[in-house]
Amino acid sequence: MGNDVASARESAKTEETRRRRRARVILAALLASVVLVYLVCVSLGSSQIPLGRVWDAILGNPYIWSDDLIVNTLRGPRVLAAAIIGAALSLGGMAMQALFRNPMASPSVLGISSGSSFGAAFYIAIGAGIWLSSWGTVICSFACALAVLLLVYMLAYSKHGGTQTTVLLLAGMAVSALFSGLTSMIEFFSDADTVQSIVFWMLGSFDGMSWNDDLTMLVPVIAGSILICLNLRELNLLTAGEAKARNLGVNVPRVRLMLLIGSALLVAGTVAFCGVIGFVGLIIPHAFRSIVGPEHKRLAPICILGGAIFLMIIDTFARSALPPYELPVGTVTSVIGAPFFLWILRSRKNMLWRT
Amino acid sequence: MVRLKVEDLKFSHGKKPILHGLDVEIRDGEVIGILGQNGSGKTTLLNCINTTYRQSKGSVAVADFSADVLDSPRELEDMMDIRSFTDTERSRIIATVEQNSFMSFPFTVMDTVRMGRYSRAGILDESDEEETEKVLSCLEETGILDFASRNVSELSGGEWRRVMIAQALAQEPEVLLLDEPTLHLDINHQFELMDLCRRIVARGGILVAIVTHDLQLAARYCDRVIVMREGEIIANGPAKEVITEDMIAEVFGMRSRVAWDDEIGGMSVFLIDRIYN
Repeated sequence: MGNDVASARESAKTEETRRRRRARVILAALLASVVLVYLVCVSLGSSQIPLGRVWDAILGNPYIWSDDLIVNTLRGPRVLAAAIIGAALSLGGMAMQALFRNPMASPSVLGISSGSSFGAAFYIAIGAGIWLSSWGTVICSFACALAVLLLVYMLAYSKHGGTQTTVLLLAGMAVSALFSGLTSMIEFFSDADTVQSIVFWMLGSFDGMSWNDDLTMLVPVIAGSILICLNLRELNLLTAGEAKARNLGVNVPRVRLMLLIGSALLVAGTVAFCGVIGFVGLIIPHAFRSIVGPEHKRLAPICILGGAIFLMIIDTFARSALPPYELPVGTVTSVIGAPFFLWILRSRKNMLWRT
Repeated sequence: MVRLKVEDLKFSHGKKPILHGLDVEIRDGEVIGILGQNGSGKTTLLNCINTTYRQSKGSVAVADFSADVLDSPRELEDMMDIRSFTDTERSRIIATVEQNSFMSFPFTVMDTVRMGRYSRAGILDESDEEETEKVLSCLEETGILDFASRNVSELSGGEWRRVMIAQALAQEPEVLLLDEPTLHLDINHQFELMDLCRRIVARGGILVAIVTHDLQLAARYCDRVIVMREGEIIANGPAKEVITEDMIAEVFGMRSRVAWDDEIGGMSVFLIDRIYN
C-alpha cells in the first residue's frame, strides 16, 4: 500500500515535469521562429528580397539602396507592428477569457473594438476640428475603449453573484451595437472624404507604420503586459469564479481593475494605431490553451509569441496574396482565422473549455 | 488553539432578513454539524463567516490562531474580527468548500489543488520541490493521487468534490467550512470524507464546520450539532443530546428511530416516514 502511494506520487511528479518541459520546448521553438518569421516576412512581398540580403540590410550594408528602403523603412517597421499588435491582442484576449470566465470573451465581443472605432471616428469627424494633434485618434480611441469596457463590466456585475456570464455577453452585445450605431451616425453626417478615412481606419491596416509608431505603441503595450503578467496566478484562480478566488486569498477588486486596465491598454493602444483587427484575441489563446493547457504562467509567454507570429504571417499574406492590391488585414484574420478556429473546436473541444 | 466566535450575527438579502442574530462559538479540535431545512440560513451562515457576504451585522471573530497567518506582524486583540484581515490573511485562516463550484478551463487536478497554495507560497517558489510535496500530500490525504494529472473537466461530481477538499487542505486552514461536502459522493466516500475530517481535527490546530442534510453522518461524526430554523439557532449541543426523535419530528417533519448503537459506538438514526398532518 505504501509503495503504491509512493509510486503514485512519483508518477504525478513525472507527469507534471513532462508537462512543464513540453511548454518550455514550445516556448523555445516559438522564440526561435519569431525571429525567423520576422526575417521571412520582411523578405516576402510585392518585390521579394532574398533572406541573406535582408540580413545585410538590417546590419546596415544593403546590397542595393532599394533593399535599405524596403527593409528598414517600409517593411521592417510594418512587420514589427504586426508582431506587437498580434502579441498584445492575444495576451489581452487571454486575460479577458479568464477574468470573465467565458470562452467567447474577446475585445470585439465585449465592445472594446466598437468603442475604439467610435472614438477614432469621433475624432476624425469632429474632434480634429476642435483639437488637432497626431495623437488625437489614439487618445480618443483609447479613452472610449476603456469607457466601454467598464460600462459593460458594470452592467454585468451584480452584488451577490459576481459577473454573470450571460448578462455580460448581452451587455457587451448591446453596448457594442450602441457604439456601432453611433459610429454609423457620425459617418452619415460626415462628408465623403471623412467617411472614407473612417472606413479605412476600421478595416484595419499596418500600412505606413514607422519605427516611431512602433515605439509609441510599445508604451501602452508594455504597460498593459506588465499589469497582466503581474496577475497570472490570479488569472488561474479567477477561472474558479470571483467568490472562490476571494476565498483563496485573491484581492479581487484590485486584480480585476489591473486586468481590465491592462487589457484595455493592450487592445486600445494597438487598435488606435491600426484599426480593428478581429479574431486574434479569440483564437490564439484558445489554440495554445488546447496545446499547453490553461495554466496562465505557462500560457502567457506562449500566447505573446504565438500571437506575434500569427499576425506577422497574416499581414504578409494580406499584402502579397493579390498583388498589386493589399487586402485589409482585419478581414484576412477573420477569413483565415475562423476556419482554423473551427478546426480546433471540432478536434480538441474538451481541451478548450469545461464541457 | 484557534477559536471562532459568532456574536449577534444578522444578515439580510435586500430587505429580506435571513439571519436574526446568531451566537455560536466553535473551538479547536471540534467537528460541528450545522443542520436545518432548505432555506434555514445554513449556507448564509458560512458565507458570513468567510465574508463572502460582507454586509453582515454583528461580529465574527477568531482568537488564538497561529501568528504566521499575518502578512506583517502587528498588535493583535484577543478576538480579531474576521473583516479586519486582508484577503490573503483570511484565506490562511479560513478555507471553504462551496456547494457548487467549477473551473472554466480544463486545469489538471494537480494545478487546481496547487491554487490552494496561493496565499502560502510565493509565485517563484510555487513549483519547487517542497511545495510540490505539500500539494501531493493533500492529494494523498483525499485519495485523489491517482488522477493528479487528469483534467478537472473529466471528473465526476464526487471526484471533483474531493479535489475541492484537497484544495482547501492545501490552504493549511485553521477553520475549515464545508458546505454539504458529502453531496454527490458515493456512500463509501461519504464515510471516508467524514473519517478525514476526524483525522485532521485530531491533529489539532483546526476546527471544522459542516453544513449537512445527512442526520446519520452528523450523529456519528460531529462532536456538536447546531440546528437552524428560519435564520435562528434552535438547538446547540452534543450530537447525542440534540439529534433526537423529537427534534427530527419538529424540524424536519420526519418520524424516526434514534438509538445508541454499540457496534458504531455512537448514535444511529433511522428515518421511518414523513409525518402527515
